[in-house]
Amino acid sequence: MLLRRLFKRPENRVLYTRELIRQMYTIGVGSIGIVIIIAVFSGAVTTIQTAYQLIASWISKSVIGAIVSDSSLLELGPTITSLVLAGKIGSSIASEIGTMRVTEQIDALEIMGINAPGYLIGPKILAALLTIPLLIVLSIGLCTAGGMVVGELTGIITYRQFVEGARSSFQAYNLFFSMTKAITFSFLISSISAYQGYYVEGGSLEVGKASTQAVVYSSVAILAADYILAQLLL
Amino acid sequence: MIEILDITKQFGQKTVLHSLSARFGPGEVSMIIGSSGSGKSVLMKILVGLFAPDVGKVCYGTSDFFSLDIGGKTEIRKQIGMLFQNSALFDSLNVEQNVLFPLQMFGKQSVRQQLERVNHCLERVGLSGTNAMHTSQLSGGMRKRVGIARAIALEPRYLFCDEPNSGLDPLTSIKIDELIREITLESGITTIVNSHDMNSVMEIGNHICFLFRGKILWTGSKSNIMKTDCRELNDFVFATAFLKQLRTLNTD
Repeated sequence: MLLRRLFKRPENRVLYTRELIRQMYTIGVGSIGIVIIIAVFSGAVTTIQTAYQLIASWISKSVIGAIVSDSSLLELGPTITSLVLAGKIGSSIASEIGTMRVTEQIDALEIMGINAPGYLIGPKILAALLTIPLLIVLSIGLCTAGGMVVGELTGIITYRQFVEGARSSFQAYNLFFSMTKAITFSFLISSISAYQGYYVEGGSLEVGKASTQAVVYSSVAILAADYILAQLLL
Repeated sequence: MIEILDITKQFGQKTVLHSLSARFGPGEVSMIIGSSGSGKSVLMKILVGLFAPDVGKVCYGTSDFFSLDIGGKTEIRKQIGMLFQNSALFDSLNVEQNVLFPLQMFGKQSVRQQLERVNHCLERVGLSGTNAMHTSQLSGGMRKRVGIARAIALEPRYLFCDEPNSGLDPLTSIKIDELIREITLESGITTIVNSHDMNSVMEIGNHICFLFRGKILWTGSKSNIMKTDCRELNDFVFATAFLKQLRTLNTD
């Protein structure tokens, strides 16, 4: 029902576009910092732990590069980043919309004749669909780079060996799979959080609860979708 | 003119409004009064289309609001201005942007004309020069005024005010009441005020509906509200110790 209301014709395209750009900035630019930190450290730790587990001398060190780059592409980049973004963006969307609900700002929009879900939720979902996949591409790149730099600095694996391993294991299909996950997770985070915020009843306490629920439900949905997509596409 | 016909509303097993009928005319301030839980807010939400009644009609002029399609409802809504109890200003926007918002969304004027209209509305409510202020910097009275400026930005034919005096000191309340009355008279709009503030009723109430447990028990004007023999209305009107004393003195 709520999603259906998103697809009505906007009352004013300029205002909707302005809101989309604002949301893209909040969701996209506002999350770059946390994505960089998570990605670099995930890659670094994966390199060290993979090297720790591969103790057989006959296994080429370039395998570490293959494992770290594939893990970044298939799981660390899309899933871990999305789980972190569910916490950051999901709670922000739910609390923003929830606060507007309990302070009657959504009622004010509806009385003005504005399609409130279309104006409030539509740009958020679209902004998430446009920016989160880009954040995930950034995350995949930084995760791989983080693993490579730490490998070189600690003497585990040279840049050359790492790149050799990464190149040998790269498959274009994995990138397609990763982007499918990115788009699915973006939709889940933004729509579940918006729904939780939109139907809040009560006051500030309920807004807080909705915000927590948004994070929990989005995270569970991401993990479930992760399993389903892996089962279907791999 | 707004007319409600036989409005009934239930939430679960509880009937909140029982077959209400009333007529609210243009150029006058109609007041819906009653104690907390009497159904005032539900009636107001039905009037502005946020709740649909289980039975009955809400007619704006000759149009039955709830039988209109979405386009028809939007056209009516463009003619409605509403002042909310907590003003419901958009937090992410400043004063000017709040008043400008409905004009940008629906107005067909140029940007310059829209800004002129914003300045006119702000001047009308006594808030000239506050354009750049953020809503968090405003006092309760100022928030109400910005709410009124936003409500009248599109020159509505219908103005709804939900508890316009709540949380305000007596002097600010009187100013807000005067503003509502002046705007109603100037533009000949149909104004409906939901309140339990008797000062407000005596200041601006041209036409009064008293709601008690979801029923309209009494209708009349401010001139005959003090002389009514409706016991429930008397209990409501003379609820404060001060008014009780005044009534005793008058009787003596």
